[in-house]
Amino acid sequence: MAKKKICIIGGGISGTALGYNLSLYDDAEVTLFEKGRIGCGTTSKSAGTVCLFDDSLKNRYWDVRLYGFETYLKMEKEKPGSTGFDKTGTLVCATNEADEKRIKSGIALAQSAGYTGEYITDKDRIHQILPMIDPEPLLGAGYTQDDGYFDGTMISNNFASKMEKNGAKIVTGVKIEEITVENGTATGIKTSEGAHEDYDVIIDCTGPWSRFTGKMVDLDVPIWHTKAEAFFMAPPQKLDYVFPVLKYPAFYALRAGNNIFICKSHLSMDLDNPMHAGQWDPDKLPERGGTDDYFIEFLFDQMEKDVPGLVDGGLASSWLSYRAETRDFLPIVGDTPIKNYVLATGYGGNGVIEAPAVSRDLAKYIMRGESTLLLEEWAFMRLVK
Amino acid sequence: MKFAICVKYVPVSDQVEIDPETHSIKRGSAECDINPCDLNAMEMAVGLKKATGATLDVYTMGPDGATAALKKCLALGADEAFLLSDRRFAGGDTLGTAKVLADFLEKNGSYDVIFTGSESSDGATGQVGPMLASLLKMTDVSDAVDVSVDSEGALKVSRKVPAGRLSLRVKTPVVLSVPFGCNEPALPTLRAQMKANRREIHTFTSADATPSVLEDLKVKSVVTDVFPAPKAKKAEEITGTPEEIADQIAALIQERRKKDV
Repeated sequence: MAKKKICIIGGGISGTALGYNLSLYDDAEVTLFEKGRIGCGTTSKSAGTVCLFDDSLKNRYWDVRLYGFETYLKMEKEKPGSTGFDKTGTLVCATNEADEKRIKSGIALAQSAGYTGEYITDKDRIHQILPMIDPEPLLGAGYTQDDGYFDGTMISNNFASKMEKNGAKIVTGVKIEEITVENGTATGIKTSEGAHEDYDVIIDCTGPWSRFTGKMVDLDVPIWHTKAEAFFMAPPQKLDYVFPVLKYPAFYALRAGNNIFICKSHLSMDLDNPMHAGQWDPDKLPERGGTDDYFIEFLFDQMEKDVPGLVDGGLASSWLSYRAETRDFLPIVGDTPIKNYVLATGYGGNGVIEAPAVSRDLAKYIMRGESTLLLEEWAFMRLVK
Repeated sequence: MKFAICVKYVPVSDQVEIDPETHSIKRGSAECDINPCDLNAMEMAVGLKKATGATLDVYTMGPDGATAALKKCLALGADEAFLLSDRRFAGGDTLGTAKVLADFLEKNGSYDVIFTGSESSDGATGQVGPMLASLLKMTDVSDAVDVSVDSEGALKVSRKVPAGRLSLRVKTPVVLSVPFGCNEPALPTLRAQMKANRREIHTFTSADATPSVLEDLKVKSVVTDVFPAPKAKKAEEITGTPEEIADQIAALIQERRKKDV
């Protein structure tokens, strides 16, 4: 049986999850190229939260969220400690009626899948769960103890290990420098080591680098870079309680060792605001630091209002990463105008949540030609209409 | 009393490029932050400031990006910040750096205590602090690991020496060079950092410098070569349960810290 030769560019959560799903087909011959190390780019700066009912992904796609969450739970069960799962639970704060409605729907969906979830209006109880926040301005808060956050790099390496066991090939430290296109069809690649290889399908999983990768096939990939500016705060008092993932509409926080990680939520980014979004070079990002002063102002205002227990905490460190966002904050998955050049990019802040379900569907489409509703909704063509 | 601290904005990444001609670090290519032991000096300076009610000014010589180091010092407790930035200041050796710093420190008034880190993590010469003391005719105390002030206004300084600690009583004015790891530097709070980011940084260029100092910036020492440090040959695997491994690492850190102090 002739195997389909597939090249995946990018070894983050998108590329490795897809590589693993493709490697489950015995007629797929998969090679993944990563210019650095597995899970070392944007994925390494992901908070890895997979919460049962926050606003990161609309309830319309709740099954995508659930599939991701349960994929990682199974991975964790297979090899304890391998996903970095910290079951802290999540507290999602409702600041208006629309939030409240969405959270309540999310709780119903979580309960339907067998998980716990409750909507709390008792301010004392909210304060008890998370003493740092001021519950007074809140209408209420959704709370579950069942979820938490994972480690994107560990998950990516787990997927990479599984795909290798299935016979797929992973090449790290090698950059794709050229993609050959003949008569509107992508046919092969040239690597930084000078190798020319032919492929039946080439898949761009390069996230914030997709603009540059797309240029190799003369394709304008419609993503913007938004700034994921994260701060690590040393709380004024030692945390002697379980700090749940904390979700407000504009930011989220979670425990990171003895510190608190705080980041602006991806849906609050304004693609028309040059302080939030633009076209930048992800290769020029520093390993840490690089945040803008404006973000400290933003964070301070939010913290002083919502989490007053943290504004006088120490600013331990910070980092900046670029998310790859589309106009509708949903990924771009599937075919492009260049035949056999496929995208699995633009996950924004949701790569860890969305990659398992997307990869499952996309692998089936690539190998069997069978599409799904998800692929149809997240297709490239929706953005060029 | 009036204190000053001189800090340096240094590359913190190991991804630095070296200029093949000058053998110096291409600073534009590197991610930078405040020099680690300058934070120890800052901690000591802020402690003495609190104890004495003194003012504390912070100085750095470097590009515009070095204002980040100054803002961090303002957030940690410095009162005023001074950036000395000009192409004519760049590319000098340690003596040139010390001369420029000394010129502006002198212009801004007489300081009772000037703090510096013992050495920078990039050049690691450890020369600028003692040079400042010499140029400003102040007493030089290197490797100062603790300081307090006595009832007569003299400083009681504990100094790291190979055999242990040496206690000194020093009359001001004095330059104290502070080694890495001698104290636990505080972190700026979000509130303090936000306020510091809004503060004015006083910037001076060669036009503000004393002409005779500028004329005397000719480089007297040249870096002729740089090479990577030899890799450590001794490596030991730490094994055990996660808790046992953590305990062993903590013990190693403590042991190393004692050696450093």
